[in-house]
Amino acid sequence: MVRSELHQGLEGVTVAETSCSRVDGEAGELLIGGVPVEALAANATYEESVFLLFEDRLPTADELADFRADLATRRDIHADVRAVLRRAAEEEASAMDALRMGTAAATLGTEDCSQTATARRVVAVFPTIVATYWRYRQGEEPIDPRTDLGHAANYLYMLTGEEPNEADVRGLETYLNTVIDHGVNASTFTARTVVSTESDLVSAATAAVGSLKGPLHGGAPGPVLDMLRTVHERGDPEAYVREKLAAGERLMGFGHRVYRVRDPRAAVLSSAAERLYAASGDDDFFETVRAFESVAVDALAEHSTDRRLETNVEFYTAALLDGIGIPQALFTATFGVSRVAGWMAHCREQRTDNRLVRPVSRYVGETDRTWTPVGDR
Amino acid sequence: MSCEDGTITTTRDDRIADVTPSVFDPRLEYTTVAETGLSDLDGENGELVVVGYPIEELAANASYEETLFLLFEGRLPTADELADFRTDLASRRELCAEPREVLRRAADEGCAAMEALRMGVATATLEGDRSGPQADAKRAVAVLPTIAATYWRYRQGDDPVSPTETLDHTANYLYMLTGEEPSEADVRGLETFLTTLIEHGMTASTFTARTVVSTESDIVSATTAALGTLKGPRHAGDLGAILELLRDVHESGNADAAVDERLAAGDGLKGFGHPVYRVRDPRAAVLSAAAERFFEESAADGFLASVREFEAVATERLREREPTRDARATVEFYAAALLDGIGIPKSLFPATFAISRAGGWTAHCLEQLEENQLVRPTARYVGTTGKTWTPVENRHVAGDSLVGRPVRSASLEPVSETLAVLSEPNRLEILLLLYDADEPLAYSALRRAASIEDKGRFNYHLRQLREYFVTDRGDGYELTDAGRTFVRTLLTEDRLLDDLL
Repeated sequence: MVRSELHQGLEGVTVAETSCSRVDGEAGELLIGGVPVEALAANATYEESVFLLFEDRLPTADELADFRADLATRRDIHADVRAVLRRAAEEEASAMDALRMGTAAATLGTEDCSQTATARRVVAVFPTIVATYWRYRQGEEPIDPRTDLGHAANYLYMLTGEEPNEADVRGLETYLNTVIDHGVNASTFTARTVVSTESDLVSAATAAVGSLKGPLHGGAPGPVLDMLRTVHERGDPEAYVREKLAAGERLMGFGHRVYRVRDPRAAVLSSAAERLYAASGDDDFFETVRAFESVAVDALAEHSTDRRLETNVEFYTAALLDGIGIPQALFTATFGVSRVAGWMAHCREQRTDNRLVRPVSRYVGETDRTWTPVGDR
Repeated sequence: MSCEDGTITTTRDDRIADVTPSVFDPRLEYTTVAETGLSDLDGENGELVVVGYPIEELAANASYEETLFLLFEGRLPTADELADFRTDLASRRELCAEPREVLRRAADEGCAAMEALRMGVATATLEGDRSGPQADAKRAVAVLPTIAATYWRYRQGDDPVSPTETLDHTANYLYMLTGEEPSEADVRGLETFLTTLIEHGMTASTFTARTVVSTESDIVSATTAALGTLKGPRHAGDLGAILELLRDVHESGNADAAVDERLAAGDGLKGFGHPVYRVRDPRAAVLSAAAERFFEESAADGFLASVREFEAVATERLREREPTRDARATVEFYAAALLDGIGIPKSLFPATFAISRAGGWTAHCLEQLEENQLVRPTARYVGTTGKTWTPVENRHVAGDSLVGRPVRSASLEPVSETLAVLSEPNRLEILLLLYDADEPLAYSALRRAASIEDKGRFNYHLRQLREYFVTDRGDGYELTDAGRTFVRTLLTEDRLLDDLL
């Protein structure tokens, strides 16, 4: 028997070979399908990024047009699923609970259940599930998806019922490209484990939604936004930072488990947010965000000398998504709307060279108990 | 650290792990992912202990609720505690109208039971008590039989039967399937099945559940995820196929022939050999005894006799073939016989497995949350690097304009082989001779004109060209269009004169 080492969080255990993305925590670099995140985020449409992950290359103009059209035909959800989402909204279930419910039933009413069709279906239907839930949550009727709009624009359209402006679409598209894949994190690993038993992609996506739902993974862009708003209203970012640190509290939106330097996605989202706020003319708030970042990074450097804490992806996610008009309650679900393509790409990769995941546990409980009838307990 | 199969690597991408070297272990077979107090598998000796109790003791004595309490609390309940726990679970069985409609739809569309179960359990938080992990755990376990039975009733074209709080977990499941109060023998048989399979170490599904809650997500999400994992044929196994096998054997009345036939066909034998147990799976013994009791009472023991004979023959044959490996009947073998005897429909076998295992999943989640650590493994990047952005109008893909999609290099290999035929001077000479002739050249004329003296070699080269570049018209040889185009474009005056100089 080979000695087995205890690695509870699997830190330092390499569980897969992947060509979906490369995370270099030391250098602060992220490649997605071989392309640096900076190039992808600023240039690609979301559909292009999805194609890149699925096919490992960028599409030609014709291929892209076909792919967009194909995804757009897969957006509708079945009336019975809508009823479940309405119910979830009425009970004020969280958006991630609703997304789990909608994803679990994503194949209802669809015909083609090949792997390729299912992967596309799952990616295409996420925005519809989230927007449908949100409309009900607001007491409004859901808005049917429009096939003439791109993925990102259609998501915004289904949330508001109005055709979105170009700056908002570009901002959202940049966000969706930026967080589309990030190595084998908890949700991606969950999806890969699910398909390792030769289960299906809908089950994998549903499972991954459940993983992403947890605050340790899906993160805290919502609370970051609360913090930024508080600071903006109060005015003095420096005082706020000192207060928090003196009280021994953590500052949300700073530091990342993998990156030793600034999360490259933070830089990408920071310039996207800058462009967005410049276009909307509401750059007061954004100035506060910038001021807060520089004050906080300095204060954190004084506070903890062993490690430099920089803004992470959540920090500018909050500012950017809020600027676009994505409701705070949908931040994590919007993360899911992007990441689902990474999950599907990883599942396809896992299936091409599959190995059943069957880890080992160590028993530390009681032994040699004997049965006591209930009357004698 | 030594690993038989696992390679130790420290790469640039793994620097997160510069404290310890990174181990490549995609199956996680060399990695202990958790310490657990829930169950202990001893594959060498064929022993399974659940929270301290040998599985044989639990299966013989405990109700499903008692076993679940044991997993959640680490001890058996007192009489009062058990009564409260049963009542509490029973109050969490209801399914509201919207998920019922989804299940009806799933049944109408012919979805598999495990798909329906996934859809149902994903909505289990609706109308629920969301007070915390314990509430979610109980809800997930309590509602699964209702989901499976509701789906099944719709599938049969019947209306679902609402759960009744007067019946226990197991009896209520049977009741919801048929609408009739089940016999004691059926309840006892199913209870043994549910208790025996409730927990089995760190399987793929259990590990999925723990990974989900490691992000501090909730236990309904974790159960949904685990169910999706169990759905895969490599995990849930194929209880239905085993039942069919057993029925075939029973009907043919010839176990020897059935075993030999399948082994000769190289199919292997379903229901024999377990990856963890080197001896007989202890759960197989438990379910075998349960099946014996059950079939005696129901007087349908002809079937069980066939099953027993089949096991004996198969075990012997497998030993003859592979003496070093003790491939015994797995738990699935008797599970299929037992579930069928009880009257569980074959298409609900995996769902019924899930109904049992949900107890283990939720208990593992509660355990994980007690001392939580986020699961965040590492991956090794094997893709390309250094790509830069190409605007869409500048992207070109080989073959795109010809076939409308990129041509893979594998499909270019035959073409490349055809071109290789030309890469030989004697053959080029033959092509030139045929090009110069105004009409088809007879074999003898061509042979005379060519400078190759050896007849065998001449024939060989001509044969090579005949695939694609030269054709035999009966009255002689001439170039094909491809041959003519090739000579005209590549064997030009300039090239040939250059060569002469």
